[in-house]
Amino acid sequence: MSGYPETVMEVDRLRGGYIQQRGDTQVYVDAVSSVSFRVYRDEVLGIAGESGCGKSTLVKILYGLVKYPLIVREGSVFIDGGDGKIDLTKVDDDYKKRHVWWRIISYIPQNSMSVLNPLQKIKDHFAENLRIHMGIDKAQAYRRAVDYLLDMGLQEDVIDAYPHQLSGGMRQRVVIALALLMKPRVVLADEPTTGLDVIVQRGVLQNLLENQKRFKSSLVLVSHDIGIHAMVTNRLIIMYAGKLVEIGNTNDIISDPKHPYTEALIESLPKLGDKSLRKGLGGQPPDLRSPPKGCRFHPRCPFVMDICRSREPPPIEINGNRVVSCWLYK
Amino acid sequence: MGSISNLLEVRGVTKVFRYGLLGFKFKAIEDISMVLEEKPLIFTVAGESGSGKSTLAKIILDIYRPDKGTVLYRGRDIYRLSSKERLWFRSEVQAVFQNPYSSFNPMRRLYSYLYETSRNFMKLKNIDADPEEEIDKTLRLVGLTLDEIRYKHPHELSGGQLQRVSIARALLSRPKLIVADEPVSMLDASLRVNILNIFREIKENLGISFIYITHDLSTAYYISDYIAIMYRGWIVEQGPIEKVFKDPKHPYTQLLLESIPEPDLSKKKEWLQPIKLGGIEEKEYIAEGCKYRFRCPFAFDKCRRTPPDIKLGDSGIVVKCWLYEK
Repeated sequence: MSGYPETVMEVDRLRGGYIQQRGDTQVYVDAVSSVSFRVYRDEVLGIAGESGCGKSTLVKILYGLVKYPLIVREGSVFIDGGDGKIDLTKVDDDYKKRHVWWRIISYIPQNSMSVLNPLQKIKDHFAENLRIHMGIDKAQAYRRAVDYLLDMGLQEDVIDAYPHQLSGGMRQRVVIALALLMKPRVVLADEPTTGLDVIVQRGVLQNLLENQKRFKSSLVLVSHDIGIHAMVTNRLIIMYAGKLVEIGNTNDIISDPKHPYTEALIESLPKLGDKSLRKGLGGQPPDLRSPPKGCRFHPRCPFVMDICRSREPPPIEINGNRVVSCWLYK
Repeated sequence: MGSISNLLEVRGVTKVFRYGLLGFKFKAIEDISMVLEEKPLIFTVAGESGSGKSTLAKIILDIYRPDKGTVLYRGRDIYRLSSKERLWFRSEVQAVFQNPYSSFNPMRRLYSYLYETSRNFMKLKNIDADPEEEIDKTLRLVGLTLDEIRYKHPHELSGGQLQRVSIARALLSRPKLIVADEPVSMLDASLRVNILNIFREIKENLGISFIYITHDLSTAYYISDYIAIMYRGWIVEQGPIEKVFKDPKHPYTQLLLESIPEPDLSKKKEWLQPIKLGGIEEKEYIAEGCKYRFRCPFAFDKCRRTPPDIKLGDSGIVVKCWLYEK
């Protein structure tokens, strides 16, 4: 990247969460709370955090898949489709189906089996999509589908197989090829390798990365595994209890974490070849129905100060390319 | 009878599962042997999903019976115990499972469950002590106190806390060996290490050994003394963990260790070296010979036949690969 990177997506003070029915009263679970960041062209942006931190909810909202009980309360998600910006939180599903999904932004879920039709051959999935989206006839669609799949490096026996005949890794590669079929500018992948073996995981992530480079698209990769982010992503977002606590270059964050939560998270990971005693975090993440006042990490933070208990820390920029939400850096 | 000096010996164990109308046979594990010496140690059985590691755990716990081979606990065949010996075996070898919420009855208070467990085992072992004190003492070993959980039901605790309770439950019978099947894989990374540290402490302070079943090699390295790497029902390599990790012998172990993503930036370049993925697995299941040969970069003619377990000198390493045949 040279000069100013081109912004493809801009998330501005986004706030969303779930409505829970408790008897007669409704409770709001604040799953994504005032989150702002940008996605640049030709980059891999990672989102990390532990279960319940809001990373999957965030990705659903980024994709525009907001269905009750999930709601968006404030903020916006701008996406630049090449001809002007659209606020994804303001357009309806019909518009998204026609103009946004597959074409500008696509989504790779965790479980590939839930995407593929067990009664359809792999090539049929592609031909059908091409026919619907490009308005071409069946024969032409098949030719293009097979050409595309060969170009994506899939073998002919895979193209002719049914989903259940493929290994988990190969199925996930098929889903990746499907997501990239219409050459979207942004690809969202939510834990795309969870449940796969480490060797297969490596192959699938390499495939995602290779395609991101080839199309110069933007890949937003959600994973709870910091190791994966270290291997794959350029920039990294760390989330805790619905908040974006730190964002910066992946290498910088891993070698020099600034937020006390990021620091504790990285410190707690055992490494190959290192048996020295490591410390985990005490306590548990807060209940998002009634998050603690001030900084949401303050009950577990070893550096907690008075101000942390009463006032929420703002995003604070340090060293030019790092933003940390922590009073220690004010 | 086996040597008395070993805590546990698994000898040539095979377990076959049948499925489908025609009774197709599938060997979940095949001809597995391993030994735990009589000293406090943590032995990891590592493998991917479907490698047979949980089947092996269940065989050691006497939940499944093997179709071939046997398991000796302190020299005694665990499938030929008298009913009295079986009670003794159950108190000596305990289990911790992956999901603590399914280990406990959700309707019952944790304390009542622990009380009953403690009382039963004390009767069995003729120990005269107050169960309440015993429970409190045991809970303190895992970083909890009885006051914290006395009136709690399982759902009122977090996953990490409840897993501590299930470790305490296992400790109540004063076992010599705990088989832990993916005990931390449900927990968040920042809490995992707390449970692993408890295992380390229990081993060192109480002299209890562990069989740690996992797919996660980083946590395995952190706590283990020995490791067995499983692939499609075989142990392809086993030995002291330092040696296996520093100088892996089996081509599968080599690729496996290289593929672990780690928060270590110096590993990135090697990790990004492109690897090939297999497409259709059916063929591999039917074929004879080494199960890794379709993916193995070193495969040669001999690999069409099943490789033997080869001991490498007195290094303690056993590898199932023709490359090391003398």
